[in-house]
Parts: sequence; C-alpha cells; structure tokens
Amino acid sequence: MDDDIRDELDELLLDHQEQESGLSEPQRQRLNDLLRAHPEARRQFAQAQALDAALHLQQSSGLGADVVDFPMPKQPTIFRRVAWIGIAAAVTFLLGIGIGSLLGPGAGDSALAGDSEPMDDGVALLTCALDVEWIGNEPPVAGTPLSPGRLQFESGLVHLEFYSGAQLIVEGPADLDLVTSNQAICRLGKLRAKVPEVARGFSVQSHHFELVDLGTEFGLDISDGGASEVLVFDGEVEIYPPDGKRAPDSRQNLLGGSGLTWAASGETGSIAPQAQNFPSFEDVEKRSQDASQGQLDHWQTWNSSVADDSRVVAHFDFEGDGGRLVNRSNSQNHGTIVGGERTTGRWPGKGALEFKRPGDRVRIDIPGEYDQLTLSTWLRMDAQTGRFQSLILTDGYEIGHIHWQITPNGALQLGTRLPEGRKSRGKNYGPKSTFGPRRIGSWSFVCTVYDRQAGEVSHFFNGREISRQPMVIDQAVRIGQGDIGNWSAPIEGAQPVRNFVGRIDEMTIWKAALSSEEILSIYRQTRP
Amino acid sequence: MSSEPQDPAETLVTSLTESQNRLYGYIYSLLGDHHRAADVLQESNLVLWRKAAEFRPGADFIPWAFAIARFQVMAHLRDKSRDRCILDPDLIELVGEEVEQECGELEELQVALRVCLTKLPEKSRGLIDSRYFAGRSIKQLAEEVQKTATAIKVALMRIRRGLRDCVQREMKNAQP
Repeated sequence: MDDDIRDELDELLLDHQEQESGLSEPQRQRLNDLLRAHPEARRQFAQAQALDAALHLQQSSGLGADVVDFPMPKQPTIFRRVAWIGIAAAVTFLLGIGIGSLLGPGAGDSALAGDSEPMDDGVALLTCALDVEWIGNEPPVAGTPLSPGRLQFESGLVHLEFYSGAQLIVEGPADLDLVTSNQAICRLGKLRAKVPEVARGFSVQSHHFELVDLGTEFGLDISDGGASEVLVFDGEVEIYPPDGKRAPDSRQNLLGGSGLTWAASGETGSIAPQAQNFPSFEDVEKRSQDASQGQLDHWQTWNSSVADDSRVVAHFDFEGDGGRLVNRSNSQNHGTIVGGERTTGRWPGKGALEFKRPGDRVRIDIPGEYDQLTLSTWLRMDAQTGRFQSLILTDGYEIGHIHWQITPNGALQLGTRLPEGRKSRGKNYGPKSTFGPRRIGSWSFVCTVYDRQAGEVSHFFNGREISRQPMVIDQAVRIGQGDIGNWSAPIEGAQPVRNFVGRIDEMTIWKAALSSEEILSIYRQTRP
Repeated sequence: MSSEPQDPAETLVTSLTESQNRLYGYIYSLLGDHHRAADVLQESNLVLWRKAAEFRPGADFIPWAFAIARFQVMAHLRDKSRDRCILDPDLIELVGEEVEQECGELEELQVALRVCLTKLPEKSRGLIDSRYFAGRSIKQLAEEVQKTATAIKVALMRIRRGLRDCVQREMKNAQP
C-alpha cells in the first residue's frame, strides 16, 4: 500500500471524527473501498480506531477507574448472600447509568487526563482493634482511615483517633456513626473520649441528648435497653436535647466529677462518675502490647511450619542480622541484602527490611521452571511514587521470566514475558488498583497465584481475591536471578528506577497454586 | 485452584468488569462513534449477562464477549439508521479480525499511549489535549491559534500517526 493511500485513509478517519454527521456518502464509500482492497489499510484502520478508543478512555479515565475498580463480590461463603447483593449492584452498575454517564457526553469535559488530585474522605483513624467481632461484611482494618459511616461491632475494644484530635475508645457491643472529623452519633456502646483543646466542640449525639465537648475527658454509656449515662471525668461538657438545634436556653453544663443518667423512659437523674468502669487509654495500650506479643508468638509457630512445607521454594522471614537474608526453605538459597536497613516488622520484635533509597535491594536466585507458582509477601508500602515499585523482578526479561510489582497506579501486577511472535512482549495480569492512599503506611498481605493447570492468574489482598484472569498463553515461568524490592535491569548505563518504598517482613514462594482457602488461612494466622 | 467450585455469576461479573475497556474499544472501532459505542456496550453487557449460563467458566472470555459484541453491532446497524456508522456490514466481518487483535490488547495499548503522550513535544501534546481531552473541534482550534483549519488538520494527522507508531513500538519493547 503506498503512502498516498495511507494518508487518504488517515484523512478520512479524521474527517469522520470532525464532521457533524460523519463522512459524506462518497467519502464513506471510498473508505469502505480502501478497506476492501488493501489488507494493510484494514490493519491501519484497526490501529487508528483502537488508538481513538484509548484516547477516549484516557479522557474519561478519572471515571473509568471507578468502573473497573468496582469492588468485586469475591468473599468467603459466609458472605454469599451479601455477595449476591454485590453482584446485583455490579451488574446494575455495568448495565445502567454507570457506563452511560461514564462515556456519555460531558465526561471529562474540563479535566485533562490525570490532573485530578487524590482525595481522602476519611474522618478518623482506626488506631487499634482488640478482639473485635465486627458486624457487616467489610470489616475495617486497624491502622487505616475510616470514612463517614457506620461502625458496628458485637464485642471487643477499638481505639479511634478523629482527624480533629479527639480520641475515643469504644467497648462493644457498639453501634456508631462517624459523621465528620469532629462529630459522631452513638446508638449503643460504652465509650471514653479524650478531647484536647484543638478538638473543642467535638460532639456525640444519642437519642437522649447531644453532647458538645469543651476540652475534657468524659465517658458515655448507652445500653441497648435505652438507658444512657454521661460522666465527666475532667473538664466540662455541654448537654443539649437531641434535636440538633443547640438552643442556649436548653443547655446544661456538666463539670468534671459530675454525671447525668437517662432512664429508657427519658427520666433524668445525676450520678457520680466511676472512671474505673470505663476502659482507659492506658489499658488499651497495655492490651495492645499483649495482643502484639500473642500474635508474634502465633506467627512464630506458623513460620516454623512453613519452613518444613515441601512445596516452599523460598521462605524469607526477614529475621536475623547481617547482610544475608536467610531462606528458611530446604533449598537454602539465601538472599544478599544490598543497602536495605534492618528494622521492625508487623510487631515489635519482628524483623523487617526497610527499602528507601533507589539502590536498596535483596539479590536472590531461585532456580527452576514452574507450572504453578504462588508468591506472597507482607509489606508496608510507605509511599505511592507514581512509578513502578518492585516486589520481585527477574534480572532480564527473557521468555518465561516474571515481573511481580506494583504499578504506578498502585495496582498489584504479575507480568510474564511471552514467547516471540506475539504482538506484545509480555502479558500483565492484575487488578486495576490495590494500594489506594489509605493503604500507605499500613501492613498488607499480598499474594499472587500463577496456575498453568487451571490456566489462570489470580491476585489476593489481605486474604481476599481481588482479581482472576485467564492466561493468554500456556507457558511455564521462572525467576532465576533477580531482586526483591528493586530491578537489576540488563541495560547498560542508567537504570529504570523501580525500588520499593517501604518495609517488607516476609516473602514466600511456593511451587504450587495455593487455594483461596489456604491463602485466607495464612492471612488470618499471620496478620498483625 | 480453579478446581474449587466458583460461583459462575461471580466469575462472569469479574470477567465482564475487567473487559469493559476492551469491549468498548472493539465496539467503537467497528461503529466509529463514541455515543453509539457506549449504547451498544450497555446492550452487549446485558446480553452477556443473560447468556451467562452459556459461558463455561475457564473458557476464554474475550473471544466469546467480542463475538457477542460484534453481533450487537450488526443488530444496531440493522435497527438504527446507518448515519455516522463508518463501515458497511460486510466490512465488519472483514476488519473484525484485525480489530479483535488490536482491542484484545487495548489495556497494554492504554499503558503505551500514556508513555507516548509524555514523549510528545509540548505543542503537539497541547493540540492532542485540546482536541481529544477538552473536546474542541479543528475549526475552534484553528480560530484559537489563528491558523487555517487545514494546517491544524495536517498537524493532527501527523501527531496521530506518530502516536500510532510510538504505541506499536512501546508495546513491542515495553519492559513490564
């Protein structure tokens, strides 16, 4: 096909986009004739159209991300019923207004691709959760921010730090609504609040009253029978009727050392505060330390069992010191630490490596070719860098090599180098996103399963499946020499920067495809 | 691990969600109109959902989904007026294979495109932004920069070709 035809086709395609009613009939016929006559024109057409589609999707990518990030209802059997509601919602979304408004007129009119700043609607941090039995299918994770919404649990103790500075410990059974960074609604539960000067005005509403704090420490007990108590340990609070008006003439001030009770009927009385009836912040701290020790002991038991598992090719527990990263599996192919600093892992007393500088890495050598491979790691990502962050990258990218990393968008991804003769060099498997801004700084368990037998690649986050895709080509994979947390690319001179930023305190490679149940069970045995 | 029983509906929803971009690209390529492509994508999703029972979990989802989408495109051409639909029905079959190949790897293409956009000279990038992301027409652009529409058109054709070549190159050489 000569250049004239190529140019003519390009021009026709541009005209088609530009003209209000598309191509004129003669133009349209000419285009169709060109496509019929020249196979190269058909290729050019397909490439140009795919590029237009990609440009269009790029334009609406802010919204597009929402569609593809829709949380998949992949949950254990106990949530089956809930999962179905999820499916219904997902389908409604896919079939309904979702796509329509996504790709319809106006989408992305003003914003250019990638210009939007990441937003966080969090109002409080769930600092710790002790023996908590959550109600609801999306239990919050300790160490992560909470959005406005309901917090419900059967038993246990949680510690919340509101963004305003107010701190709360709540003992279950409890049912709360977080409204803003300085406001909560309490339907049920026993709570103690510590409100520093900066968070003055922190308020809690219940069906009997609204409490506005003036900088203090107070306790609140709302029973499921309908009776409630407010006890001021220190400082001063204002009590209003629960109508939200805060009328000055209905205000009642309670000073430190005093308390109010409401019977279920609404009848009020006074009471002397007994601070010891409420869990203290010191208790929570102490219990949290004890729990950590218990979890660490539990992990140690699990850790020694893994080392004996014959399916394990490599198990790095990041314990010990010196420049060697010990592989506890029978193969004993130890890693060599380059640069990364020894630090603390999931619990005090647990070893980890900190990866921070562009050179930090662990050199590893995992020989062999595998039909099935499970990669798992406990990591704490400390920054989203807008570039790739390596988990395991093979030195080269030869046929069958794997690249396990986090994409610039924060998605977990497994890439495999495909045999020659394919359009792309490699195929990347993985979800659209994994590490949102909220996951920064908290420990997560990620796991990827390459299963040639099933012809699938799946990814897991904190024990839950987040993606499952068919393999595009049936091939064995291998690692050989490579890096944990970085990339020794086979390129002369300057290297692409792909270092991981954060901590890793465990990494295991199995020559088997672990089941979803097994992955969930590992997560449960090893989570902080 | 796929030997464990998996809810077919869950599998389908996952596959459907993950392939929305590729399906969109496929339908758009054949129709040549973004609004209509969005409509046909919705219709195709509905049909795919209704035909869930026909889909064997473990089978390759994309060829099946593309086949159904192609059928929906043809039905759309039959039912609606052919205005703004770029291809004759017989060509849909003829270019189908090429389109399938390009759009089967649309996600890789999107990644490559992001790279290529950053490599564009500032002026070219500005033109692509205004035309494709801010939705201005060639005529409007010509007025804004006080050039002829033809000059803008030629520039756009050149940039688009450059992007196409760059994307093909990136896809071949990308180091994932």
